[in-house]
Amino acid sequence: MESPFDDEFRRRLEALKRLVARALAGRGGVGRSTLKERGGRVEFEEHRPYVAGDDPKDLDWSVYARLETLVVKEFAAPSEAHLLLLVDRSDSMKLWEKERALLQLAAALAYLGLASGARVACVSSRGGSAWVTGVERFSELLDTLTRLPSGGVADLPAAVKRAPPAGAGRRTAVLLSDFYEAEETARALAALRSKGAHLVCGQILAPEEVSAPDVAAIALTDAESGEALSLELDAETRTRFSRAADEFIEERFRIAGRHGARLVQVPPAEDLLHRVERVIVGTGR
Amino acid sequence: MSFQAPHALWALLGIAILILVQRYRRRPRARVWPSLVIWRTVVGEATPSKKRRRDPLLLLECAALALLALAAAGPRFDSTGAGRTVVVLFDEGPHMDARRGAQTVRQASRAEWESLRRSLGPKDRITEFSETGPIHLAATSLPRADLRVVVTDRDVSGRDLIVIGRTASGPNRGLDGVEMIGDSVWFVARADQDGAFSVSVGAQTVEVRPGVGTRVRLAASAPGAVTIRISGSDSYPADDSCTIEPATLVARDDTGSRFVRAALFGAGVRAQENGEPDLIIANDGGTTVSGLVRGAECVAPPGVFQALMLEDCTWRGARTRRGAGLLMWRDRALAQWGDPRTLWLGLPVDRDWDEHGTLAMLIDAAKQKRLRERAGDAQLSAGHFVRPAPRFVSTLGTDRPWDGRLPERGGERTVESSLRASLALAALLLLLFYVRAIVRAR
Repeated sequence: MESPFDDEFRRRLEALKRLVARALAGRGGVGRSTLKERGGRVEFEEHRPYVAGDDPKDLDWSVYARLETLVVKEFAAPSEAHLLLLVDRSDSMKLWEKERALLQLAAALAYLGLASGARVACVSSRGGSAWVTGVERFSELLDTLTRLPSGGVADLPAAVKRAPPAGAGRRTAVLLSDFYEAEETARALAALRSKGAHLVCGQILAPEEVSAPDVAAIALTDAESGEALSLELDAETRTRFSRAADEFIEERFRIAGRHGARLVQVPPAEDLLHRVERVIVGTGR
Repeated sequence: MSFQAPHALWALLGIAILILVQRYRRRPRARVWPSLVIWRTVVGEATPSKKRRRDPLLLLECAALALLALAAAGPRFDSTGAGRTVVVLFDEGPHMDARRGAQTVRQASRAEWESLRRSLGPKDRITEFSETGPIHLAATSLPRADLRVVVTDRDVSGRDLIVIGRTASGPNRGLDGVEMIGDSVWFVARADQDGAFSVSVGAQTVEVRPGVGTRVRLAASAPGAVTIRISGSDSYPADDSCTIEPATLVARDDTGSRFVRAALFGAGVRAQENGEPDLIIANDGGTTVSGLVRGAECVAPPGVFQALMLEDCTWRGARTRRGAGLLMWRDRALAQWGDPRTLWLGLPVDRDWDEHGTLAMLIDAAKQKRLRERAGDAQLSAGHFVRPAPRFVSTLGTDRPWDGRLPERGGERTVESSLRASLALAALLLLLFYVRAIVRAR
């Protein structure tokens, strides 16, 4: 497979960076591009009376206008956020550019996490990285994603076990997979849930794999297990397949819901920024 | 069942091709799939019978192709075993009103046919239709047994056409005139009228005198020079005061029937072995008129048939009509137009008798050739051509030459056409159903 982080990916990533910078500028002005540069004051906590020596910038002028009392805004020290990216690099992801889409999406999410000051780690069932902080270490995550062993069967619980231990602070886990194995998906989500993580599932399914091909008969081979299956594809069989695919997707939504996770569908052929938006905003259905 | 175009049945091989193509199309396509989770659900719902069912679209394709092939082959059903179809043409011309004893010729012929029909088998199918043209039925004097011989021994099949001519005491009586038309159409040659006219040539030289409404065309003179001279005159003694011009042609009515009913259309002379020429004249009324041309001379090698033709010849008081027709010699039809070795004596006469229009008895090209060869070789036997056997058919009521087909009014032809059309229509409907099924499947 060619590197998923090609020139096109980099162009889309630059566009993503510009969006992030614009968003941060709207919150703190030009030049204060990271939360860290703002002194860690990220969350408003309370007002207190002004005392000499306080920074005039912290005065709340709206309160003074109403009460003619000088007060300053107090900010709480930020808790450290963790973003864990669990990626499925099994053989089932090698078809229809699914793996490429998965890696690009994981990289973009990692960049966003780093840019927002979170600690980010990428893991799969057969490898992973430690927690990484700071956008300047983004390339390390890219290398990790590229080097993660691929092939074999999907094993999300094993990937969960490979996650590095997290410290205090909010935890968010993003699972990127096609989630064909229902039981293992449920186990992985349960394990992450027990750690108090906020869960997002990005289900990467190509349209081709949820619609029967237009042939009279087909000899199928499972990409992961090598299991073979032959059958004729008449109109009735196609209809049944379509129904079964819908039920498969619905079942994955139900599994995610039972574990407090939000599942979004991510078409692999979609633009990277749209894929990122789906995961963040949750417009994946 | 037989076929008009059996080679079209080769199209049935297309069914095998269709099946092969279908098998090729239905071969399993190998695909690697991310997971068989969804597919296993589908297979679990499928029933074995549905897996093995045949493709209805293939059956439609094959059926449509088979019907098209059958339609192109033109099936027809033999009478063998299941009975034959006998097609009988009845002449409804006015000359059939001629009385013959206590009944008219028409009545006699009908009665004759009724008895013939009773002799047919119970499974035989009979198609009767009347024909106002000179393919006609008159009271036949054929023994039924003889006609049955014709019908059975010559393998009369469903397309056989029996034209029963007026036969009596004339030279064309009996089955001698049965000639083959095509492969299975039989023609019982038109017979002479009772007590037919006899026309003969009185001399070896026939001279045609110009200026009396007669134009002579010498079509050929080979193999021997022919000098035709018609001289003298004799009025036709019929009671209608008809006089033939050129007056050298004299016909004698042996029976007293009204010659006026028989328009003369053609005549010919033949040198007999004894050097005496014969002159045979045919008309379009089904009556062969043989007569005598007094004073005529025909110079030709003995046994070689020659003929002359006159155009625009008139009888007195009659309209001029172009055309000529069948030349009969004895009980044989020999004639054609334009044979370079024949010289026709055409006596196109119209006696206000517009029943049939111009008669054109044509012989097909092969017969023409053979006739010429035969004439050239002087293949005669006892005054007869050994086997002139001309193929001829009348294009009745028209001046079109025979194109080798049966008259359009033939009932059996209609049946065959209908069968073909039905098969083609069925094939078309199947194809439409097939297209609809394809569209619905998608």
